[in-house]
Amino acid sequence: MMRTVIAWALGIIAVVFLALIPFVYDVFPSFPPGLVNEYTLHVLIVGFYFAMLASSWSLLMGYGGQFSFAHLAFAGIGAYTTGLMGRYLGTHALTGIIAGTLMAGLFGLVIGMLVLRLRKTYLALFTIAFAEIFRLVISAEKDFTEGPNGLPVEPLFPNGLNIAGYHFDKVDKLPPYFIMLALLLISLALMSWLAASRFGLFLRAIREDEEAAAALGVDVVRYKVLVFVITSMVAGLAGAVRAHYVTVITPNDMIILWMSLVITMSVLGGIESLIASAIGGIVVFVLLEYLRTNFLTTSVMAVVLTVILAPTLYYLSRYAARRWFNSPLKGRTRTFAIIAAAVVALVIGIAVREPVTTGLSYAYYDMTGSLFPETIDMSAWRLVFFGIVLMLTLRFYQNGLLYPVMQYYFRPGSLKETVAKREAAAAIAETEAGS
Amino acid sequence: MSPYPNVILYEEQSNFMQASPLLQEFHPGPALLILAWVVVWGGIGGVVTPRIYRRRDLDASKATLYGTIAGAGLGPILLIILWTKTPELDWRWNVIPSLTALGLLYWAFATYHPANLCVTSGTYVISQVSNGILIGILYGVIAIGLTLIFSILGIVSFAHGQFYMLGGYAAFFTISQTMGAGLHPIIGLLMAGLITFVIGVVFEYTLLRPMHLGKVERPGEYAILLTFGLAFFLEYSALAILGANPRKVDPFFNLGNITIGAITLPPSRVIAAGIGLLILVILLWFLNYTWLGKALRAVSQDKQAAAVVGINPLNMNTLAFGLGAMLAGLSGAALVQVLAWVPNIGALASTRSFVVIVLGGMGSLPGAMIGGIVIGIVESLGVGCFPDVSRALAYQQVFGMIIFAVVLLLKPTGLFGREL
Amino acid sequence: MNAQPRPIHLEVRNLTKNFGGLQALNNVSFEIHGPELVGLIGPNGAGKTTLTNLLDGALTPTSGTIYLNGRRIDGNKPYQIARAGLGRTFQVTRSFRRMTVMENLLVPAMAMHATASRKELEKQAWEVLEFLTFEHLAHEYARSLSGGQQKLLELGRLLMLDPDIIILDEPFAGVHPKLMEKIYEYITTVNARHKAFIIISHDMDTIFTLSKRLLVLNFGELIADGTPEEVRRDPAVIEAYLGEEEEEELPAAGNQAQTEGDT
Repeated sequence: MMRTVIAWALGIIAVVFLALIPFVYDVFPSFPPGLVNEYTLHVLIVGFYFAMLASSWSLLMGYGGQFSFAHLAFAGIGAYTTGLMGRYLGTHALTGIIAGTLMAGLFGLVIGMLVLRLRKTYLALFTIAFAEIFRLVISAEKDFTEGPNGLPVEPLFPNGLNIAGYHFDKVDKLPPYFIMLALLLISLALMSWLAASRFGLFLRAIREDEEAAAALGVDVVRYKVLVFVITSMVAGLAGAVRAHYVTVITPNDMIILWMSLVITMSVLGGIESLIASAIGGIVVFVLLEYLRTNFLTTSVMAVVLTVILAPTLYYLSRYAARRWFNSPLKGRTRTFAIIAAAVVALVIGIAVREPVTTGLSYAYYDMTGSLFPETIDMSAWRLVFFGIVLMLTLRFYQNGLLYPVMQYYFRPGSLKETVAKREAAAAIAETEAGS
Repeated sequence: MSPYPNVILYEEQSNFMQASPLLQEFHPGPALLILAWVVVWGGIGGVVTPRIYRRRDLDASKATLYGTIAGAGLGPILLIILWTKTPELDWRWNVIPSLTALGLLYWAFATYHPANLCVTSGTYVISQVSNGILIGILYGVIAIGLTLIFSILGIVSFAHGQFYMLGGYAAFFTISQTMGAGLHPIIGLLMAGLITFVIGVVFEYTLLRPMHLGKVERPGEYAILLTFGLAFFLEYSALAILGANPRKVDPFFNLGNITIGAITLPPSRVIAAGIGLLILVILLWFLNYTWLGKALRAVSQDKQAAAVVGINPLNMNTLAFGLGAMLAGLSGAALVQVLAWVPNIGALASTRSFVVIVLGGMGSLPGAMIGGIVIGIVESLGVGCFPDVSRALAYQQVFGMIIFAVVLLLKPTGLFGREL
Repeated sequence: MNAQPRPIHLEVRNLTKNFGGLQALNNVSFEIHGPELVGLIGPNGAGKTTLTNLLDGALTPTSGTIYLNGRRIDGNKPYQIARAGLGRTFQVTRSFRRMTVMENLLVPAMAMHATASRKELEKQAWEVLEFLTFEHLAHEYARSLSGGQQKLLELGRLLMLDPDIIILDEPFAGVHPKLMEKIYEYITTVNARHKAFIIISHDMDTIFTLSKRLLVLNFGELIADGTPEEVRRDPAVIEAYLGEEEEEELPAAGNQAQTEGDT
């Protein structure tokens, strides 16, 4: 009970926090300096877009086991549908977004029906092929789509927006921020409801064993196609709205890099949880933007030191526990060790960030003869960082970084299950001792 | 938003390209008729043939594909023979109709754009084809690496193209006089092979082996995601460390221009193809005459039986992944004198190798080689003959992908079946 | 599980299946009336699994028809056949490994009852859990169960599906004696609740004592159909088994007395 209340409270606090961020900016334009500004809002808007993609991908992949690399292509279908309709038919943004969503759903239907027989690797290859075909055709047909130069799209509110006597300009970030946030929350709620219903149950059964599910009366074809349609519609919706927000779309939005990042977001959050994937999406995208320029400045050095130190400290304490206290870290002790390691690492990181950075910059000066730059272009290095994080997460935390924590602390009934598990273990031990 | 805003891969164009007179005389009518003929009969063949085979209780697994090709190539003539006699389908039923289908497509093309060099100049076509074969040999070698990995580990490595990219860079920085160590090209090749082999072995041993030991919850998905992560990591490491500037070295050996009859072959490609063939010979020798090679083949055929005779399949997995990566790396080293090398060259190579191994049959070595050469020819003809070059570059990939997708849907084991 | 007995009638007529040129099943006909306990035996490659897959809808027959309770089911999809009242297990255990035991049981229940509330179905699932003596495992992931427990879980799923006819593919293969007893008990208890069984087994002793009727397949043909005594004396059956290999000898008449009675 308690856990459920805490989970809901945390969720509501997070949503309220996200809803209040822009007002901090609006009421106090300079508070806190450099923290909340237009750029922050922009990053969060695009973060919400990726959160929608990551969570719908985790419904498709984590629940349904349908390995698709075409998710960004579906977002692209949404974007180009509304973009092209607006350009050639002069439709309103709303019409375009609805059409884009439906078009993505239609493509999802066709692809879903085509790939029914394909599994795992073959499905992955097929969806890559589909995504590449779509991207290349958009690039090649310059006369129609402007190709790599980018297709201009109308902003969401071309004439601005008047709410309660306040006028928002068409480039103002507030309306798109709330629209994107609302869409993210609605789609999350909808997909979570679906995942908790029989739909989710059947999807997981299909993921585990298609034939067994069919033999137990599950209409496998219907649910496999349906999950493709639903997730592509969410992707299409996200893509279409983003198109109207950024006002120019290019085939480069669909390159395999972005798909890798969506996968990273989902895997880091937890591939089997929609909410964890969504949070992963926002966090990873914010980090991506933050790391773009700020690497090796002192604050990031603190983060880096913490990230390096925390696991080291944890594993050291684990080793110590096993070596000298002869008991492996378990349960509450383990949680405590993790938190303690993180806190200590953070403190050390903050304490030594200045000297380490200074030392590095001296070393840099000695080696190159030039001054250490305050900021370095990190646009490629940050991706290297995420590549490593993705591989390590896959190897060591297959359920993601966030999802196990959420599951442990907040899932209703998990306490009951823990008790049941203990009893079960005791019962098994008893029968073994008896026989 | 892309780290490569303006870098699009323009592979080396033939010199003929600039000379190609682009007349605006297009005749779509007859060309479309021929195309329609091919497509309609192909469709009929693809739909009807398997039904007939199934009705007569024959093996219908190949009937869709062979029916399509037979219909597309020889129309009703071959289809009626197929339907009345229902012979056992082997590759022979493929060859003549596919050649005829190609001929028909060429005819359609010729009537569509009669002033094109590909129609007017036989020499041009032959030189494009020979260029295609030369580079196709290397595509084949890359794909053989992928096939090797697939047939031993049972996974498709999505990082394969990145090993190719890595091999190219390793060779560049060993050989280049200005940017690198300025060593002999052969050392460059060896370095490329060594580095990619080591990275492949380390990756397999540390990250893929747990999957085979049952330590991973979702093995199938794990392998795909992990190799995908590796691709991502390798590509952006290269971008971060080496930058996006295109790199290229001079031909390894000074051969001058090689002229056979009327056609001139660029020496860089000839050298690359020679290296490719040499790699192939060494690989075949390794697979057929050494204990390790024989062990690899044994594992690819029957894991349990191999384990019984004392071969550790886990070590074979590591070896195969390393070898596969090395083949990609060596091809990259051979091609760094032909193509301008950028970090995202690997992505294209990856998708191309997928196309090749799916066309050539998942797990088939000869299939991968033939597939590679076919793709090489198609690419160079596609780029050389299409009037709009940038569009041709995109569409040659699109058509490859479409064929790839269709083959995946119709016959996931590929056109040549599975053998090693 | 249900109170009023439903009529059970499976009718297989002239069922034939070819794979390419290979004839896996040839002109097989039989009927099952009421809650029978039928054993299906035959040497390796006799077509037992093919027959199961045809009944279950995983394969479509080359010719012939299958009626279940008067409804023609050949050519239907597996899920339709499952809903029509025919459930099966597979030769290897196929529980949904990364779902809890409760969720495993809810899958067939929810598939069968499109409108029933989850609570109702969970209540039903608890009854099944009680029957399997699995209450303490309800929220365990299926993958953390032992092999035998997973096998029982599969049988439990079939109870939730509530079919008229249950096909068990090698239920006794590779299980230890204690579990075997439990499965044996399951079969007889569920059979008494008005469900027909078709049991495929290589375990001759068990199948001869358990079932009241045996179907014998050899090279895709039904060579015998009768009580265990009749089958044991059938010359065609003896020849089929002697021609095959010596391990799979028919049990001597005396073996029957060793195992307990079956109801």
